[in-house]
Amino acid sequence: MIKEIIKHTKAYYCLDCGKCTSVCPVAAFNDNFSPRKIVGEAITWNNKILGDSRIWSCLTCKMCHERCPSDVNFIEFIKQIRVDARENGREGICTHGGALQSLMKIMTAPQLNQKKLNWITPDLNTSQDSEYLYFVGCLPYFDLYFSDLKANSLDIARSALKVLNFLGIKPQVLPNERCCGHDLLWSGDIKNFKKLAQHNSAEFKKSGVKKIVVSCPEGLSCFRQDYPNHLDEFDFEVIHIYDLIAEKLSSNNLKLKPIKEKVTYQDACRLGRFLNNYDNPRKIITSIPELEFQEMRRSGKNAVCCGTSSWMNCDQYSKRIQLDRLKEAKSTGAEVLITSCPKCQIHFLCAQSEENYPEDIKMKIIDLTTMLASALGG
Amino acid sequence: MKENIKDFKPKVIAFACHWCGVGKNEINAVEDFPDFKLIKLMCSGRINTALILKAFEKGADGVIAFGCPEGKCHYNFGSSNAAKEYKTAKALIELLGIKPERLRLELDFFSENSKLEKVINEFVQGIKKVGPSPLGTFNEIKEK
Repeated sequence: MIKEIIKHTKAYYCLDCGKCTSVCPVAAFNDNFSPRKIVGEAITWNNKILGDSRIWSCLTCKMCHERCPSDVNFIEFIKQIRVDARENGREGICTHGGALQSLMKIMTAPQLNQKKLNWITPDLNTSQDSEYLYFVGCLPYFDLYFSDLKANSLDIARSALKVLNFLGIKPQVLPNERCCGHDLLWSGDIKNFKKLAQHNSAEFKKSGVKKIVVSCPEGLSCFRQDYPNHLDEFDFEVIHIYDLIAEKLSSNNLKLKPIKEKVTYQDACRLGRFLNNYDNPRKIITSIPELEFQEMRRSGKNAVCCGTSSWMNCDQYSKRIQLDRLKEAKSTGAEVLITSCPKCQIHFLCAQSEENYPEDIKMKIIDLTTMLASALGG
Repeated sequence: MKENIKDFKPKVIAFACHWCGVGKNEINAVEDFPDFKLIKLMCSGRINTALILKAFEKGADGVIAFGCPEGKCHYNFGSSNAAKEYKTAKALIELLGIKPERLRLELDFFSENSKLEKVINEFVQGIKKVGPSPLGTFNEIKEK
């Protein structure tokens, strides 16, 4: 019910100040989109908002909630409204023809036996009985589907294993873990999200792990914040790989190999604004010798989203957000943009591959885990 | 349980190009097989990874696509596009653990029924060997 959602997300407290709209990355380019107006209309017209196509354009990047003086949880509001809208037969526009949504929905089938461990090269160590689990998630699928963009998403997974091996951890890697369901959850498909969550939770329990290491911010936020809310029981310690290494960096004198490059860093919304992890990625970057690090103008809490989320509603405004962000990254003088989320990497690479875009947005885009692994000598 | 496997009639989605003969003239040949759901397209270039995955998601036991030979496409590059998408889709379904026998692309001219029947029979036999799709009983195709 809309009224309950409004109450639950404190949308009644909206002061109509418009701070949300002024910081919203979508509203900066799309005049029709305004979080303030959406909240206002939902309060005034109630159910009419369910048929509104604008609710699918929100990036759920949490910038609005960060700034809201009345603490209106706009992204939670959008999330729940999407669930209701989907029940009324509405849907966002799936990008890539819905291929990625189909992948996620196929993974809800319990009998599926995935064959997705071929990426593990012989130099990487895994084990069957470790208390640690490395959650790979969708990386094998991204690597394949976005091979045109040369995203090489599996480099992240290989690097993560290298880093874990370096720390003396031989984690389990499960062939039958599924997608974490993050995108289904945020696009309102709560039914299929729960199926994935239950399956994953059962797989984790069966394997006997206690600690789950992830390298993807979306998986991290999903396991930490959403699984406990939607499952009866989810008793696992979920650790991001940056936290593991940052801990070692501060306690030991961990020697990293020098990398001579000028870099800047794109905060992922799930890692930054969702989980307040701004320091650890920066700690890793700054502890690599000879790496020149320059912050972008809008960074940390003010970092702009990469333009699309949940593989949904990627349009000209998304492209303009990406173009704008890449120009900003370039203006720092950096040659390499470090991302922390595989999707940020894919989205920026996609923007760079557009033929009509200016040459000055061309820069190397590399994931922090990959960079860390090469600094460890991998 | 054994009887079920014996009576197993695969649900097959067939994407057919209008110009290679399957979509246009030889529909009867396809309709002789009751388990086929024929989706006619103007060109095999319309086929993409998303369509193929959608068919599997909805519970198809197999997906077969027909198009003109590469280089002889009515619209120049449709068939090569289909071939590229087919390659991606095949790799993806293998990752998912769906047997590669369940997906096939035939780029050829089908002016004779016998040729088409042979291909279809072969394909159906292949699927019968690997059994129902792991998603088959899961997401039933809704009859209209």
